[in-house]
Amino acid sequence: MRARFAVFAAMCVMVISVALLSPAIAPKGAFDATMRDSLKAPCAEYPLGADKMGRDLLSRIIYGTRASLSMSFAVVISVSIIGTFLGLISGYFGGFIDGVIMRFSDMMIAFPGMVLAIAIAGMLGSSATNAVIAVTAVTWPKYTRLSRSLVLKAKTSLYIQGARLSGATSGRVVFGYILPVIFPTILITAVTDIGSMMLELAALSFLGLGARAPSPEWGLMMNEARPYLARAPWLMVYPGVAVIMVVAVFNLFGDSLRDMLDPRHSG
Amino acid sequence: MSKKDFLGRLLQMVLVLLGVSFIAFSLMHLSPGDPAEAMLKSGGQVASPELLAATRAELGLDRPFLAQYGAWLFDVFRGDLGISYSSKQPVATRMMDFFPATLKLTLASLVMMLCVAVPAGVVAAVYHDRWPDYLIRSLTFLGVSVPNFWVGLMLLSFFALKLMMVSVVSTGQGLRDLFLPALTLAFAMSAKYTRQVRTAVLEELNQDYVLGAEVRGESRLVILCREVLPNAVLPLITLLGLSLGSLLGGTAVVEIIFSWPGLGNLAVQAISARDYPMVQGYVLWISLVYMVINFAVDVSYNYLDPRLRGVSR
Repeated sequence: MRARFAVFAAMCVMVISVALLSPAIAPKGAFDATMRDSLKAPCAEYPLGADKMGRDLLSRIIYGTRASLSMSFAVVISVSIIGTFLGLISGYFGGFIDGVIMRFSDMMIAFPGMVLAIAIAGMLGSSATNAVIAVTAVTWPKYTRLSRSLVLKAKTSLYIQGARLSGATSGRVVFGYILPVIFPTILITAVTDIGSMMLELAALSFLGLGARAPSPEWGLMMNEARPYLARAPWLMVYPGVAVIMVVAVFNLFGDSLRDMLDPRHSG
Repeated sequence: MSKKDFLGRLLQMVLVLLGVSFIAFSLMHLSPGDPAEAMLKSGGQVASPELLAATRAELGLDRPFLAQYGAWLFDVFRGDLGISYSSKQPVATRMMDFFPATLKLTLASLVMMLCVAVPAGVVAAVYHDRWPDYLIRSLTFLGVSVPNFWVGLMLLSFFALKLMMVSVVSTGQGLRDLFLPALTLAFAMSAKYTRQVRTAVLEELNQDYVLGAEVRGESRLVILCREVLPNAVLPLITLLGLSLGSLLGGTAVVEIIFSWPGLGNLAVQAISARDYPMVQGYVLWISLVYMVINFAVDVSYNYLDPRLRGVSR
């Protein structure tokens, strides 16, 4: 189990280093256009072909790792922070504030996620940041509900009651005693969500509601490839393969992390 | 479910729906642009200050936010979702024109998904930790890692461009046109649902009553069909209701790829045209459909599970 985890962790590190080191790895720049080589098929100079502007597809895919990773990490980190914080407050204090937070998250859950994300991203105007905001806006309730239920369970434990009796302030109990206990579960959920967030963000970009041209983002690259599906299918195939590979790596990593930290779930 | 529970649930749904309508209405105000300007522009007019002011007054945009919301909500209750900026037709009429295509697509992919996911999930559970299970699990793993729009485009390029079997632009009529979009939509869903079927069946297989039946000498097939599956159906219905959400969201992407004349296509066009009433109507309508389905699932769950029926009485 640990060996499996180590392998997938190493693969994640590889993907992340591709993103960090893209200028060193990519054979060409992401924006170097050579109009003469427009829509050139894969060959020695362009291992994966060239797009309509004559830009090297391989280089653009390598640079695209940055956009994909940074956007999905931004979503996952913000939903875990916002969601967990609201869940902690809601679960610990209960009463009126709990009611308000939970009813609000009920409402957000009542929307089919992607529908609302499309509407929010569309209304805010297309940009990578707005796509992140849109996906965050529809995903946080999941974390709020999760952390709230974990808090409710932790609250009844003896050591929490002990801490309260010994005069610890609410803030100290919540952040010093409850948060560390619920953290592993939140972390597992966040890591297993990276892949699906990546897919949602790519879908928004594909619809033209995310990253904007000319930035190398995989969903956007596939959107730009649509008119050339017959003439230059490689423009569609390879960015898709890149998405699948990276999403699969993070999904495998998330699953192995869960199996390691939470053996009940394995099998 | 007792009458009281039922009414309580219904009331709760109405309250959430009110909140949903508020969010749908506020969407318009998220936009950095001015709706009046957007409307004039989509009509091809030059937005002079006088014309802008007149349009704002006509749309009620000069009134306070809550007053606007109240007026809008009142109209919504009467079935009036406003007039689309770009087509100048009532939003409700437009949506009813496009809804049947989306419904057809959703139902077709739901059927396809069930045909794949239920047998696959059951087989994986029965052959737990043997090769059929590993095979099915790897396939579902691949399924959840693939962007559905990519699958759609690959299918399209294979069937339409290489084999010339279907036309690239679908009319929303006939089974041939329906096949590829429905298959695309079913693809990712089947992967997720297969996993859920597998987990649910596996859980039932580990129950004591299965062991008991085995000890009595009943064959595995009989146990599976007569006892395990009927029990596993219950959690699966709930999950099906929830999966409908992602199905409805997925339609937008798939409809665009296949030029399917459905609501998702209409909505994405409305977004790029800044046709606010249309977007609001779409969000509200899809959420309503989704909530009503989940409500029905809740109710049927209570009806189907005799244990729950006993408790609520």
